[in-house]
Amino acid sequence: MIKNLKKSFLVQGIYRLSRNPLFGAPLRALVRLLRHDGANAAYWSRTNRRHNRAQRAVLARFEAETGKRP
Amino acid sequence: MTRRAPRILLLFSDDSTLIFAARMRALLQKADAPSEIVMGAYLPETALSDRQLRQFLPDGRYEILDKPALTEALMAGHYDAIVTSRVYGHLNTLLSKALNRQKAGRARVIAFLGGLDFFPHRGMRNRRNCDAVYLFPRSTCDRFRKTEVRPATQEVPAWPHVGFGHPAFLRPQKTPVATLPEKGDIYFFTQALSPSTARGRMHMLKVMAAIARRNPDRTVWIKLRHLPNENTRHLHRERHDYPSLAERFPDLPANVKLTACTMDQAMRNAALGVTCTSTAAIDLLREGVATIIHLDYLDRALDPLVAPMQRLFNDSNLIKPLDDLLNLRFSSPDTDWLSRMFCPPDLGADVLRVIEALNGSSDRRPPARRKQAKAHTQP
Repeated sequence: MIKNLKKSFLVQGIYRLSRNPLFGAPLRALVRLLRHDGANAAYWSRTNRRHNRAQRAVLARFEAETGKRP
Repeated sequence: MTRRAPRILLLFSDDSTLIFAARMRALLQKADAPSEIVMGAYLPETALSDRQLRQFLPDGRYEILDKPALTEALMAGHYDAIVTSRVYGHLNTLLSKALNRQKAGRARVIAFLGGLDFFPHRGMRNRRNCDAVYLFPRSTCDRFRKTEVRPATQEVPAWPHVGFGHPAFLRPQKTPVATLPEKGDIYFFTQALSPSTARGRMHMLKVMAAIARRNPDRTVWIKLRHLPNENTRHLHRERHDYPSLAERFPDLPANVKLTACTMDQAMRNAALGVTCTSTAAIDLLREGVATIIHLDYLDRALDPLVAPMQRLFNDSNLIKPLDDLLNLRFSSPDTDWLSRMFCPPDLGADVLRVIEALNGSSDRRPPARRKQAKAHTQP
């Protein structure tokens, strides 16, 4: 299915556009932006940030007990 | 009268299906030494490297099947059964036609789940045209019977047959360890999709580095599923691979190492196995290795595999928070949960019994195998 999708007119058109000297660079930048982890709203949600903070704190506490180097 | 040894084709196309096929072959051979097992690579969906093929099929003995060859394998009476963990589109199309299903001499198709299936609904639908379907855990078998099995009529018995089990999910033979062995390494079994973000994966690397610093006498292995340049056509592609992340890690301890060894090699000196959503947890349990499942990594809210992993392993005693993971505190798996998830070790014999019953009950087999029979197939 993915193979067929890649061959589709729309996808091939987008690929050609991405190689265009004028529109190529901004289009590629947009795709990179959309593929970034932060493109998902949940990445920035308060619950996620609070969870991440708590996990980092547990790890930091453990590392402080151990010391950075063996 | 002596029973003719069954001829069975095991299909594979990528690392998951190849591991399944290798395990299934061992079980069938153990159950019935005279049976003839043929390994078959399905060419249109192949995604395997030289290394992987050498690792699992060092003798290089396998058939290569394109679509017409798969059609012939199914229809021409060369095989008693095709056993597969993936129902390829072409195979499903062939099996969806009544004309093909009812044809004398057709190989019976026994389909297993690909592995631990977090979203089994689609997998169940893909397997509904097969002759027998093996599922797990037991709740999935019950659901399949309710939703997909066609009830018996006067002419046709209920089908498909529903079995319980998977070659990677045999009831553990070894007693789980209660305390961490003094010797042995720690393995972190990675997964292509979890954690789903770069910082989630970097966090897991930091956790492994912290464990390594606290345990300098042990090596902490980051067990890779495959190397970054391998399996570029795999169903699950890894966006942030660990070797690249490890290169960016400023002070990775010397006893943190990356490996792409096989599961069996890893099991040999594993004192503890850690995973997020990898099915490696099952291999660890089967081998009696201490296991920790950790789902509290960074950005867990973005990972669609966390909820189903939590659901499947909820009563297992194996899911541990970060503090327990860092201090290597683990528990033995719950016995009731084990019996719902793992099948008896005679799975190979059970599959052979089902193949015999399916071929016998249909009474449609030709009297002798026609090796060069031309398959007339409804496309």
